[in-house]
Amino acid sequence: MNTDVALIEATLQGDQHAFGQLVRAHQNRIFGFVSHYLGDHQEAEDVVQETFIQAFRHLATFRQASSFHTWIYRIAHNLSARRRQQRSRRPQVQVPSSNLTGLLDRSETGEQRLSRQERAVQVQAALAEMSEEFRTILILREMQDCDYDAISEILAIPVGTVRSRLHRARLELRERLQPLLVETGREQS
Amino acid sequence: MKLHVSDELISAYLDGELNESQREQVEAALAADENLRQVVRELQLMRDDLRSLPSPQLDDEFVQRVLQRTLSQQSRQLVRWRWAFVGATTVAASFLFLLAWGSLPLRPQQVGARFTENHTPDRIATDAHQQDPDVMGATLSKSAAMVAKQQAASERLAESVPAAPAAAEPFGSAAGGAGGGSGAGRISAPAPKADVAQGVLSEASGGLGGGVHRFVPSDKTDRPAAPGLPGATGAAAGAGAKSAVRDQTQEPLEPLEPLVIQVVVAEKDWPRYVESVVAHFNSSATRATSAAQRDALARQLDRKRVPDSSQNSSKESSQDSSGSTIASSTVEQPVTERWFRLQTDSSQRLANELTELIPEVQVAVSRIEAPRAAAAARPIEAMTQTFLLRERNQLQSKQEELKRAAGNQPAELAKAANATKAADATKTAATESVILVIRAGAVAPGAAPSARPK
Repeated sequence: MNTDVALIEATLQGDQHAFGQLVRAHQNRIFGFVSHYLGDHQEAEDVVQETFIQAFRHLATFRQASSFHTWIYRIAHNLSARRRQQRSRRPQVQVPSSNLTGLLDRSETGEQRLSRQERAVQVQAALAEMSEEFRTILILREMQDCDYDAISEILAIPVGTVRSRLHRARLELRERLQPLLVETGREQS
Repeated sequence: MKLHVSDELISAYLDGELNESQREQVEAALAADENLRQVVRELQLMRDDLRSLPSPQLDDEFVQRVLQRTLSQQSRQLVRWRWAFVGATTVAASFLFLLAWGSLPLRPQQVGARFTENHTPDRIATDAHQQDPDVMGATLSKSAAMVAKQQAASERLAESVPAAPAAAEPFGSAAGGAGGGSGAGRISAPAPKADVAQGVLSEASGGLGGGVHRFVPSDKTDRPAAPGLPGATGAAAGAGAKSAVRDQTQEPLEPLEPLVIQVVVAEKDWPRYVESVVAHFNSSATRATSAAQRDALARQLDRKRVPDSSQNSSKESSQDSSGSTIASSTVEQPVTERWFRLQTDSSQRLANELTELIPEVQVAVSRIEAPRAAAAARPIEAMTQTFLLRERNQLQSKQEELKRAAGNQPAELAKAANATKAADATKTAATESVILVIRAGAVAPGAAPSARPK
């Protein structure tokens, strides 16, 4: 956080290299969030670019009451929501093969690897079918590891709402993934 | 024994968002309830599944792309700001220039140019009563008085001149009665059925008027006119003209000053009134020379301007006169053609044309719709309405006379009906026609001709 503050100060004084460092520090997390939110990597990259440009233009208005991390998440969320509204259709979630290769574990057998990939596709499909508010809060909490306060700031909702909404989102996803979870539980037991 | 805990506490327990006592409460419940433990296990599995999803990464050049876009946006914004600055500076400079220009005193030779430049049709309409009081205000305020004077003069003339035969000159007494009272010249045109035209020429400066100018369409004049005078009422009109000239010569000459003239012209016969403006200016211009010259010119103008039935073209009459710049070419043009030109030509072109014809004045012409013209020239409209009312009354009285004379004769009744229609046409033409408003500013003697708008 202190690094962010120093980089922001340097950027405001005209140091473009400092802003480059800020982008580099946050780009992948923001890209992960937007990518899961929109379900399209190319579109997500455009939105992330626009997010950082907006952040650069309005950096002087950043009051540092919250963290830069939360602030830029909020920008990204707003831009993503707008993009999704323009698109006005539910995302066609697909897991590109290049991303699935990230799941590659050399210790796994071919069958195990295939099983994991199939599992990831099912989870992503279930996530994509959820409502926008449930999907958003699950991405922020489970995949971006944001705490309740940060989620509350990003989505501009009270912490109590974060808690209840998150729990309802989890229950819905659990219901959607019930066969998969039961099978896994049986295997583990 | 099962302990009840809320679902939200279970979620918060998984997220480590509970305080110590809440966490102990949930753990106690989990120890006592197998189903609850199953729920928590499934939620943990689901979380693991979500966290194991591949996380996409951006390439190393992403930062460069962002910085490039940031720089290009900065430069575009800089350009926008520069243009905005240039625009604001230009507007401010223009405003200051206009402010300074507007505060300069108006010189006489600028009057015409100012009229030409500043009087668009809308502005003419809206600013008519806000003009320079030395120019417009005096003009308009005197116009109402002119009506009364003209009526009085007309009545005097009507008493002294025998009425014209009705069949030959239906409006003879009205036209012949139009006399030049002091400070006012009035031009009225006969209204041949639907092609009726009404016009009133008023002079702002008072004191001197254009005398009597009466125009009779050559195709409607069926009697030889007295020398220099038209139609059956030639003698009456001639008397009126001489009376007007006599009145003018008896009045002290006033120095020529910026002059504004408004002419309200019905569309059909507007060239006649353009001509009347020319005549008026010609006669006005002579007042600074001598009364004798003006008197002579007024007679010439009368001769020229009033073609009788023996003259098919006013061009012929203009050739035998001297010292006059009458727009005879205006008259010889068919009315329809002239009207077409008015529609297609710009006001400025017509103004330039008039300026060529009248070296002494600068003229600005604007064509505006009748309601706006009425608003712009209310006193003149009042004069026009007075004229029309009198015409109508005369037609009605003529109708009554015809009825009385005809008894039950169908032919005479038909004549009476025609007279009524003509009266209605007179009124309709005044209310529905497009009105041409001509304003002209006279230039003081010795003013440079180059000041005229081109």
